[in-house]
Formats: sequence, structure tokens, C-alpha cells
Amino acid sequence: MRRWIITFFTFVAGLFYILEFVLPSKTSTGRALHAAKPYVGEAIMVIGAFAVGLGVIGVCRHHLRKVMLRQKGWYNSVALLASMFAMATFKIWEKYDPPELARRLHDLLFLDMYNQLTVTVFSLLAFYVASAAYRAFRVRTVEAGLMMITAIVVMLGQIPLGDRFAKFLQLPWTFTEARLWVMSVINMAGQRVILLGAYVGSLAFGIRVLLGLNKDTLLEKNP
Amino acid sequence: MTDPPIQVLLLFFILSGSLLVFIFLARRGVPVKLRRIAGLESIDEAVGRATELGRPVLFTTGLEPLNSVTTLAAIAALSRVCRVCAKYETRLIVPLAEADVYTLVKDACQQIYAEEGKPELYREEDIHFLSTMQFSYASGTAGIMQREQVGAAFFFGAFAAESLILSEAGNQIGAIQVAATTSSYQIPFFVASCDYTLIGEELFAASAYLTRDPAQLGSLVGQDLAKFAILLLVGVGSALATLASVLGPEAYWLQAVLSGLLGGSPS
Repeated sequence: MRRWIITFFTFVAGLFYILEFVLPSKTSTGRALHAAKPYVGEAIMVIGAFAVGLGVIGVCRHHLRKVMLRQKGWYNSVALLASMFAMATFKIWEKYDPPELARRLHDLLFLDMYNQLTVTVFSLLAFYVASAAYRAFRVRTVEAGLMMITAIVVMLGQIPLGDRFAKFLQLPWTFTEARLWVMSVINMAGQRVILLGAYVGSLAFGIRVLLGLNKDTLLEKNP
Repeated sequence: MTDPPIQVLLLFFILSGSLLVFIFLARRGVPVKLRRIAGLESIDEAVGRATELGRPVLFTTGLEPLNSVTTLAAIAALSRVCRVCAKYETRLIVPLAEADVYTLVKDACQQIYAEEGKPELYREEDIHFLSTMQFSYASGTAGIMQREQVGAAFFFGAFAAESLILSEAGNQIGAIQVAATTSSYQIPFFVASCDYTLIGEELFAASAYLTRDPAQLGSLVGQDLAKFAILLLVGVGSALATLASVLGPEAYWLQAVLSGLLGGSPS
């Protein structure tokens, strides 16, 4: 029964968007569907908002349990809960009654603390790129060798010294030109093939979901 | 309000039609032959290795919410991983970046453990909703991987700059890693850091490939043929455009054909 209810609503919702896409907007049905689209979108947003509430409840339950049972790292959970409620309180306070103090406290938490922490995590990428590149460029196969040569050309094309180096070597092209060619021809062709496959794959997956064939997604036991 | 061009509608109906035909044929019992996808074959191996090491398995579905087809495909793969974990009695940790995905995944995992006859192994506290903020989610997930010393990590879904933070965190602790994404900019990072990477449409093929359900497998054949048809169209279009460019303005008939194909000016 449960599966049929889910399949029915999935099918109707999917059919709505398909018909809205294919029906000409000049017909009465097409116009009606197009007019209904914002309302359907809003209904989906409302359902999503309920899910956010459930998510927050889940976070609170998880961390409160950790604190109450004094599990390993419980003090981190205290910090998380305190930050979450402080941020929410100051944001709501600032929105409905904007005194200078509320704005400053919110800015202190969001701009001065949260944003800085985000930037710190983002900056870790520089080190991770270096270690990943080291592994990727170890020349063990012909493909890895080709990739390394291409990467060197692209990197030389990215810096001013690269073009001077090309001039010194008396190459008929600059590294900037080579980089642009690699990025706009070889790289772009590869990316488009991946995207093409992904679009066709998502269409096939969408049809499977619409027809209720993707049983595991619909919480149904495998045959 | 603009309607899609007739060419787009035609392509939509041809692709959808071919998929439906192959689903129908597969349901009628026409045998379906599939190419091997190493990344999907490795799921059992990865969970098995984590089980041997006595370490948990981690699965995350990326940044996008439930209305993303990529996330739905990731949840389909998660169902399989969860089933294998329940079978091997291995702990499964699922950190998530979206609240709506969290509610569905929590329910799905609980049901799968019950279906496998091991409801007592389901741990609600292992399905985490971390944050919708990209780097909060990334640092939270990387922290879980380090603290719990996961033996296998699965990154299925839509990822952005955090892809390398997650996969390098797994690499540092020696976890066997499988990634699947349609984000073309993140694929090189996953290839460099993970043991197996599913590229583009392979993520969408996961549920069909893993369940071996004939109707779903039929759609995979239709998907491959549709892709081949599009590539053929690209090839013919490129050849015609090259010919039109070589022949110049005298080949007005060719320009007309290309305009018809593209729905506008070929230039």
C-alpha cells in the first residue's frame, strides 16, 4: 500500500512537470499548467521546510544524547548546540527588532567567527591538491605521463614566466595559447561527453522513478 | 513565457521513447547484456574489507537536496550499501548535508535493517544531518572519518570544492574509497584520491546495475543507445557545419539543413 501511494504521487508530480514542459503555452491546458507551476513549487518548498525542522530536531536529539550520556567528545556537542541556538537567537532578534547590539553579536558570530572558520577549511584544499597531484602525476603508465605533460603545459600557460620560456625555446606558439587550446578543445570535449552521458542517464533514471521501477529509492525490498 | 523549440521536444520524445521500448522489451524477457562497471562491483569488496578490519563504513550523498536526480540516484546506491552492511553486520555512518535527505535516509536505513532481519543493528545516531553549509558539512564529515577511522567511504552525489577535502581525509586513514558524481569539475579530484570513481551516467546506472531488475536493466540499454544516437547527431552536425564552412555562402541548402537541425542560425 505504502509503495503504491508513493508511486502515485511521484507519477503525478513528474507528469505535471513533463506536461508543463511539452504542452504549448498558447493552449488553455498549457497556460493553466504554467500558471500552476509557482504554486506547485511553493508546495514543494513547504514540504522541504518541514524537513528542515525534522533535521534540526535530529541534530538536537543526537547531540543532547551525547551530552547527557557524557559520551566521548560531549563538550563538542555542547559547543555545537550553544552556537546553533546563539546564531538563531541573534538572527531572529536582529530581524524583528534591529538594535545595534543584536547586529553586532550576529556579525561577531557569523562574519568574524563562522566565515573565518570556513575560509580556514577552504584553505586546506591547497595542501590536499598538492598531495593528490603528487599521486596523480607519478608516471607509471603512458596515460599518467600524458596527463603530467598536459598539466605542465597548462601550468606554464597560467604564469607569465611560461611565455618567456616558450620564447627562449623558440617555440612557434606560446604556453598561453597551448593552455587555451587544451582547455577549450580537449578538456571541453571531455566535459561535454560526461555531461551528455549524465543528462541521458538522469532522463533514464527519471523515467524509472516516475514509473516506480526504482524500488530501492522508494523504500521497497529488492526482488 | 517561451516554449521549447520543436527540435528539443523531438529529442525528448525520441530518447524517452527508446528508454520505454527497452524497458518493455526487458520485461518481456529479452536478454540484456551489460558492460562491467568496476566501481559498482567494488561495493561488496569495500564493505567486506571494512568488515575484516572491524571498521565502520561511511556513505554520503553530497550537497544537493532531495529534488535533485543525482541525490535520488545516490540514495538508491546507499540502499544497496546499507543492505550489504546489514548482511555483514558492519556499522554504517551516513553524514548528510540536507535535512530532507536526512529524513528519507533515516527511514530507508531503518527499514533495510528490519528487512534484513537485523533491526537491532540500526543506530539512529549514525545517520547525521550535519549542515547545509558546504564547508561545515565537509569538516564535519572529514572529522567523523578521522575519529571513527572508517574502513570504506562512499561519496555518491553532487559535490563541489569539498570533494577533495573528503576524499583526502579518507585517503589519509587508508580507507577504500568509491566516488560517483556528475560534477565534471570534481571528477579529477576523485580520480586522484579514490580507488574507484563512477563517472557521469554510471551513477544513474547504479540502482539498475546493482538490483539486476530486468525492467531497470532495459532502461540502461535504452540509455546507451540514446547516447549513441546523440553522438551520431553531433558527428553528422559537425561534418555538415565543416562542409558548409568549406563551401561558403553558395551552399545555402546546407545552411538551411543546419538551421533546421539546430533551430536557428548555424553560425
